[in-house]
Amino acid sequence: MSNLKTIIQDLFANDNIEAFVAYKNNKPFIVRKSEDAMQVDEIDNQEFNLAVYLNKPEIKKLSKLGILANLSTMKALVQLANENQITSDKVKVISADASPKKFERFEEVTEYIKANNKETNADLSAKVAEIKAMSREERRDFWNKEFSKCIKCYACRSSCPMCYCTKCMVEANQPQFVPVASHAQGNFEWHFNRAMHLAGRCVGCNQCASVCPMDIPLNLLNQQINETIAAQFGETAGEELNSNYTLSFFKENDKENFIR
Amino acid sequence: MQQYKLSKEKLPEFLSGIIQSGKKLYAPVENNGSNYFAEVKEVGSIADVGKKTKLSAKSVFFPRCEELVKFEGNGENTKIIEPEAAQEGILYGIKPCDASGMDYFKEFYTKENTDKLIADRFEKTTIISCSCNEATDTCFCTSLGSNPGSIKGSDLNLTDMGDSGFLVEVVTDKGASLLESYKNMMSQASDIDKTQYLAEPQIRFDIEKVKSNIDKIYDADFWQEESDKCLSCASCAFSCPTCTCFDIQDEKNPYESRRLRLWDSCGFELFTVHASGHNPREVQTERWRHRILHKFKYSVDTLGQLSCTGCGRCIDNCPAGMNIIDTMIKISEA
Amino acid sequence: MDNMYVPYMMRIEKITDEAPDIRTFRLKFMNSDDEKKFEFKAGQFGEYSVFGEGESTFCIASSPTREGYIECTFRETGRVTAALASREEGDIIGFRGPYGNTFPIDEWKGKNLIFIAGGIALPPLRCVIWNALDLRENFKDVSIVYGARTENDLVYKDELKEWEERPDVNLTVTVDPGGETPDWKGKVGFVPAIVEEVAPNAENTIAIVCGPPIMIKYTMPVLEKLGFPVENIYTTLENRMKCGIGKCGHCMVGSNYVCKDGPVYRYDELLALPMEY
Repeated sequence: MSNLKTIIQDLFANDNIEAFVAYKNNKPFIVRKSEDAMQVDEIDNQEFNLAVYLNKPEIKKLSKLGILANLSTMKALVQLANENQITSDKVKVISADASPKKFERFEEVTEYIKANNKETNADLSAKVAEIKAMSREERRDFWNKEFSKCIKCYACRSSCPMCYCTKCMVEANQPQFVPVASHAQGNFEWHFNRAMHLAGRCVGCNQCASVCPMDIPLNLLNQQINETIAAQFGETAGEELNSNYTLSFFKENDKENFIR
Repeated sequence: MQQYKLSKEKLPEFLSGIIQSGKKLYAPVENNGSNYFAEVKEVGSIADVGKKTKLSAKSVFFPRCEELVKFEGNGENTKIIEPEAAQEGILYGIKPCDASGMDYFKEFYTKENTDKLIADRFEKTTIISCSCNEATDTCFCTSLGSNPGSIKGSDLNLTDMGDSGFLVEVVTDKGASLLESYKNMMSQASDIDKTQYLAEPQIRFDIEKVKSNIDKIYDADFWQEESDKCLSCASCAFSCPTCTCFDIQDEKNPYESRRLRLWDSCGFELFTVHASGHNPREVQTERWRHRILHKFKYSVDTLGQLSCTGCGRCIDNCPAGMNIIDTMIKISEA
Repeated sequence: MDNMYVPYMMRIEKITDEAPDIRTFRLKFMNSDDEKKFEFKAGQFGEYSVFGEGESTFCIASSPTREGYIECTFRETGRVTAALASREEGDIIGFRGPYGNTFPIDEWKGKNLIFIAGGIALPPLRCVIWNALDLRENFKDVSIVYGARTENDLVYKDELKEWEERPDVNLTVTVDPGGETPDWKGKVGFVPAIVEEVAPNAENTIAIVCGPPIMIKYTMPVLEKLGFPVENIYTTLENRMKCGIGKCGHCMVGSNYVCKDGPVYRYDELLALPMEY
């Protein structure tokens, strides 16, 4: 029996977890019973960010669970911990690599991230630079064309590990902040508001773009904001355990040069 | 059934003839590597019809956002303005699974309490389906008793016969009357057996067993197993040719108010929630079960037909890897 | 084009404040042709709208025996009901309907009737109560059990007084424990318990029940215990609805569209449906 399967069964037996989030046949899979651990994929090279399942109400309500975490999942877990959504008592993290390892504390997760971090969004960065180089009109046309495709299926929101609000701003209607309809204005306001809500919190897993059935490159918005925050505040979401992450906390030496 | 042959060279001429006649032509167009249905103004912009479009063609009849009624002015002087009637159009390049979905759509919206806006579009649109020469691994029309050359819901059907050109089958009078102006481009054909050109998607489950088990699986354990990974977005419902549900929302500006019809999905948590906060389908398991039972039981109860056509788009587009075929296998084995 | 989504234009003739956040509108058709063509029966509902804000679903709370107007009673809970609540007498709103099936009041001739309602669920029964009282000679005993959280939450306070005073109506009003004031003369307790206490005779009696899901859940067993056959119990469902005509899918319970196949259900019909209401 593989190491991962043993670890999962051990978590059920000794840590009293009620579920373990992993993959089966390259798709997300929630192990609910110890014996179902036998069905999980052994070696994982999946890019899906499983942390999103911790926000699903049916799973969030469980008292203890485990999760298989690749690098982007780990970053999401760290950021969720920073936002007081999860604790290391409740969520047991197992690294998704050739030799799965159980982390007792989130500090170990951040160490793992530091040791294994690699710049993966270089292509995306180049594309952002390309868009920034456009004239205002070109840029407006680019986004209008992309957003005109949006059908508001909300796969971006549903698949985002950082979208855990029990009531999303698009569902608030007194007043109606964002038009419900998937027309030009409704789509533009939805995507820009969502990007702003993720400012300083997006861990750059690109899941919003990869799940979009209309192939809208939503991650470009988040990448741009991530780059700005890194440049202005020197912080990247999900890499450090720090509940005073960029936009949650006012520091006296925060730059104010963006106020014009 | 009346058959004609159309050479490969003549197809663009046929389609541009339609555009020149002033009718709207809807066909698959490519965008970022995927195909979607849209109105086309020139034949050159039509994408490969052999490739499954990302979404069904339902937007031609049921736009994702449309005005039901508009109000101008205020108080006693409020003027009610109704939408304009549909224009004549041709829907080309739709696959047989999708066309049979449109047949269900039409039946649902016209049989009882006819929705005039949608009925009007069906009345004025001629559907030209294209049989499938190739299937994808998410196709399962054959598991539902249909096939890649099905003519259900089509007015005309085209089958690519390779070097021999296209077989044109005339399914309805509407199809025949469209063809009337273009017959000179085609040659007579008869008794051509198109099955040799069709794809052969594997049969994935026994639909008869599904039908005989469907009344006894409401409380089965597998609903939770099957829906555990569902993230409750609407990419399945919005790409589905038979998902008919919608929301009604108002918008206003200082001059007018609009009442809009928008696509909606039973997978959304808020779809059923009462004003009191009570939610009859509180958890995703109940919502996934409702979706499946609607397709395989409730639509049989109400309209006498399944409302899944086996196009597999819900599988293709699911962020979480949900697979309706897995659920059907579970039902057939229950 | 015969567009089913075009509403009637209605003028608000009278507004009555019933309880905190709950008010009743009396509506008259702006167009007399619309009024002439309009017909409805007890149990039906409609879509009431403020142009630019949206539509909201409520029953028609007035009786079809009272011609020339319709009434609706609603609680302010969301965007549309807030917009409705901000309207004043004389203002114009939209109405689509009537939709849905009806209480089979003709079949109840010669029988006793007991109406059981909780909270904001009296309005759907008020329609059929007045319908029955306006044809009083058709029925034997008429009883009403009505409960709300507090005295203040009781709706139609004037009509409760009127029913109280009528010798041909047995009215029992109750409030939840703690919801009474020192002057309260009615009962204190939850509706199911009060129904058991009042113990109506099940013989030749039709029970019409409407209330929050929790009240229905606990009242039905009481009625069964009192000997009511399931065929003599009726209720009306209030699922979320958008279109009202069996298309939008929101109100579906199994293969039933509550807006079209309901909202009125006999209890045995309700038991045949999945518990998704």
